[in-house]
Amino acid sequence: MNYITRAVILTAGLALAACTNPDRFDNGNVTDLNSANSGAGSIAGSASDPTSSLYFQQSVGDRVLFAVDQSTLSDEAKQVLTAQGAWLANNSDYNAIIEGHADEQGTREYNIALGNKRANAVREFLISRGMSGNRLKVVSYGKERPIEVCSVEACYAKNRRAVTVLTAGLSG
Amino acid sequence: MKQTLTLLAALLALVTLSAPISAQSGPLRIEITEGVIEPLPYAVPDFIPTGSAANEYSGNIARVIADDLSGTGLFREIGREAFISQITSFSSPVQFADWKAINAQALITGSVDVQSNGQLVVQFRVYDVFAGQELGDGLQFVGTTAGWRRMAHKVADAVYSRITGEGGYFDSRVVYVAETGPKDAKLKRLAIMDYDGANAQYLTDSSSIVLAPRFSPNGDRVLYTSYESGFPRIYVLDVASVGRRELASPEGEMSFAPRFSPDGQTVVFSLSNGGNTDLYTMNVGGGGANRLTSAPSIETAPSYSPDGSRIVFESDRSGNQQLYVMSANGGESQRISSGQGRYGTPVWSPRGDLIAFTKQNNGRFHIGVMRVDGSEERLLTASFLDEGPTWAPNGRVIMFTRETQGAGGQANLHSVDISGRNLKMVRTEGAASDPAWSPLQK
Amino acid sequence: MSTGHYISGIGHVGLIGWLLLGGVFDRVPEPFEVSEVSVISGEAFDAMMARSDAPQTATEVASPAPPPAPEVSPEVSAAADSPPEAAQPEVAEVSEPDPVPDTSQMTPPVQAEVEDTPPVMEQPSEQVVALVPEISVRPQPRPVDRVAPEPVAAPEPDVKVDDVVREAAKPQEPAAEPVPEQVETAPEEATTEIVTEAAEKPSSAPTKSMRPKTRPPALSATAAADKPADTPATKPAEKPASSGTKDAVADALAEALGGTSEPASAPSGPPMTGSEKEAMRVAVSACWNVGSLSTDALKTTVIVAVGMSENGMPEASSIRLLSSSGGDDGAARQAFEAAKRAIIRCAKSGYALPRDKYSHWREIEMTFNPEKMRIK
Repeated sequence: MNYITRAVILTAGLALAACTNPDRFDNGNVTDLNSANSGAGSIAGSASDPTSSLYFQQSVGDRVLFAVDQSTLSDEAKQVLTAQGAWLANNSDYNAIIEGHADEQGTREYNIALGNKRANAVREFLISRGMSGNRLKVVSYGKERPIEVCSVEACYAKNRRAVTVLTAGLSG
Repeated sequence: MKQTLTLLAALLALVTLSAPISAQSGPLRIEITEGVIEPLPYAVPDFIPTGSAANEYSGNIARVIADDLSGTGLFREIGREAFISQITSFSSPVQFADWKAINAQALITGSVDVQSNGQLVVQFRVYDVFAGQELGDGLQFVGTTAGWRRMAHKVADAVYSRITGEGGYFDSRVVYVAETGPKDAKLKRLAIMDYDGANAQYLTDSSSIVLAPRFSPNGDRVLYTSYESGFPRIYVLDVASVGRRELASPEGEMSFAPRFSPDGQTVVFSLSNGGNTDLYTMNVGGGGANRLTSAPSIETAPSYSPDGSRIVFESDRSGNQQLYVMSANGGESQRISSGQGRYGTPVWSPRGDLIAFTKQNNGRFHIGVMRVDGSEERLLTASFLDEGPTWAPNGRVIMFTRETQGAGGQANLHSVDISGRNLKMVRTEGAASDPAWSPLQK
Repeated sequence: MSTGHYISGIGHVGLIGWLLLGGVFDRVPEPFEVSEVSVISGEAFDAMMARSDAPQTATEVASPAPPPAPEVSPEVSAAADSPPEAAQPEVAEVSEPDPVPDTSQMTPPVQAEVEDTPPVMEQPSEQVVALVPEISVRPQPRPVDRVAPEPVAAPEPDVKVDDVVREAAKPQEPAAEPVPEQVETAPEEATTEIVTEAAEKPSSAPTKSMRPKTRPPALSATAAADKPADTPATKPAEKPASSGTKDAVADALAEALGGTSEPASAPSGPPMTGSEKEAMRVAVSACWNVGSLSTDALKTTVIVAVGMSENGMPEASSIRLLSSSGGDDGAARQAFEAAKRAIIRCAKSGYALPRDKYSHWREIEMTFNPEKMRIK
């Protein structure tokens, strides 16, 4: 799987010939000295740029969802996380902080603890896929940051999530 | 019918004739087992001002007292327009017949005086009208004019105690989280107010999420959780100076749900570590954290008993959230919740006799109380989302957060008597959540 | 022929004729109407009578009294206690205070409380008064500030609240003597138990068919059939008699079994009947307000002694605490004060105790036991 992804990235990189991050060590062919080395993505850093965080969010998928009161990863979640792990492996200038969330059907403290459990489940999975633990941090927001507020199951389901948020890495 | 009567007469005759003739004439004995539960009607005429400087307080003080008493649901004020005679002097005798006629069972009279040094002196007496006598001694309070509300609350507390026998709770404050904005972009800041909503002021700004503040046992400090570092961490705030500092906890970990021990020296809290959340204690001044539980399940929301010997907390070790009690030093815990549903946010009553909690069952939230051993569980409220109870200083009233459903919903503070009566909203300037009640102020 | 012959002939003919034809003139014996007589309980009879009476309010006003208790015969359908069992020496018939739910949740008919004030139709949805059991939802007591043994309908908005029902004095033409202005009053509305928000809605499926009750059954033992306080005159005379019979039997048994009622030979008149003691008990109960008692005081039972004067007024200075149990001194004091207030407040112009039995009630010991009031 890893190889296929690499091949795709390689091809895409060649195809686009856009400014790339000179620090990407798996693609030595394309360099652009004018590229800005901003951690948040490159100048043409649209979602079609595989190294941009937007790409990470939209194409790779930056979140996984959970069942009520659960912190176990579904198969679908595992697929997404595997993709995340691969992307992060290829973009080692990024670190990540995994945010755990819960829906509003619970008490405040317990939901913080539950969000923590979910975020941690994601972290452990990524580590099991080869990620280095010190690139991944975990935080829980409990039910404090819902993204959907309609107070029915359709909205609750979207709030029970763990989101992998990219942060600037220290490693170059 | 006629036959029955005849039979009866015969029976009676037979029986009384053969009954021993005893000259017993003891008192008539009657047992009363049923009564009424109704608000006690009372009257509180304006306090008599001595001097013009006291005029502005005479009506206001009486108003605060009346709002306190009537607000408990246990008292009903008899309005001014019904008074037959007026109180014109604090020391002249009371015409009880006039107050009996309007069915006032309690009468509160008082005087207020502004002294030359600017101090406010408030005196009061409370009378049991139908017994025709004073109920306890009159009292006098002295304080600053700025503190007139507190003195009115103290009068109300004294009246309340004399009549009900309970401790009072009106001279107290509530720290809470003031909320603004829609549910998916809430701004939260700490605020403090008198229990009745007056004198509200902010303690933090709204730059980061703050949660669940809790008072110290003497009401001078507040523990709370804040995300200002990017992670939930515990802070101690001094109420008088509004200064705060972080309670040191291991870097990288999340700590939250703090509570003071009854001696104000120790803080018990939850620490999340690698996906597991357990209970820890540490000294409020700093130092290492001492682990109390080490189960792989979530343990959180701890609360000390008033004597400091035990801690009640919630844990999902059985599969879903339930309440457990253990010694304050950790160790074995006993489960006390036994009904259907999930139990959380336990809080020990200051009287030590009850534990308040949040219960979720069938999609509804309830605030409830149970005895310390888990028996006699009673639910006091039911709604879409009620949580986070806190006890009044006399252990008789509970305040909690109620949030309404949907995108337009918002959170507000409500209070309810432990009998389940008198459920009402506590008025705050905007939305509010996570209340914590201070002890009675001295 | 001689006159004798004529007379004899007429006589004979007459006799024979009457024998033959006399039967024709007899009236046909009327069809023997055998009506089915079945014994119905007192309150079913009540229900029957009240149904026909429902539109009218009670026309005769007895002297003002605390909210009149409904008249119910001792056998309450739900509790099914048999009268003989209730014949304990001190306590008159006590039916279970918490009977099967359908009886405890009745709201009373207007007619039970309001005597001359206009009928108050407060909650049509809860008025089961004259409705035949088509209702599927059981009415729940409304959350109301006042909890009393008998529910009281809310008075009209401009009617002041008082214990006693009075009608507003109508302005009169210049009368010989000025009539004291009397304001219309009615007892404050009350319900029978504390209704909290957490109380679940009753299931809509009826598990028992509703009997068209118009009076709430006695939740506290207000089963006195012949209370001296008041008897709505619309009740037919047989009703008191029929329940009176049962009462009388019970009383007789009670007295026969001894107990504290004085035997007939006491010098000052016959002993207090159960229903007279019941009346006193009900009267004091109506003023015993435990709503503002602390939880500790609600655990405390106090025994209070009071000396009575002959006109039925308690001597306030004689009210003293004899003993208490279940609470500390502070709680006992609160409980005592509430008891004292109850005795004094409901005395009004004197308790309705029979003067000729004065020696039996010049000293009264009342036990105030709040056990049932603790969490209603």
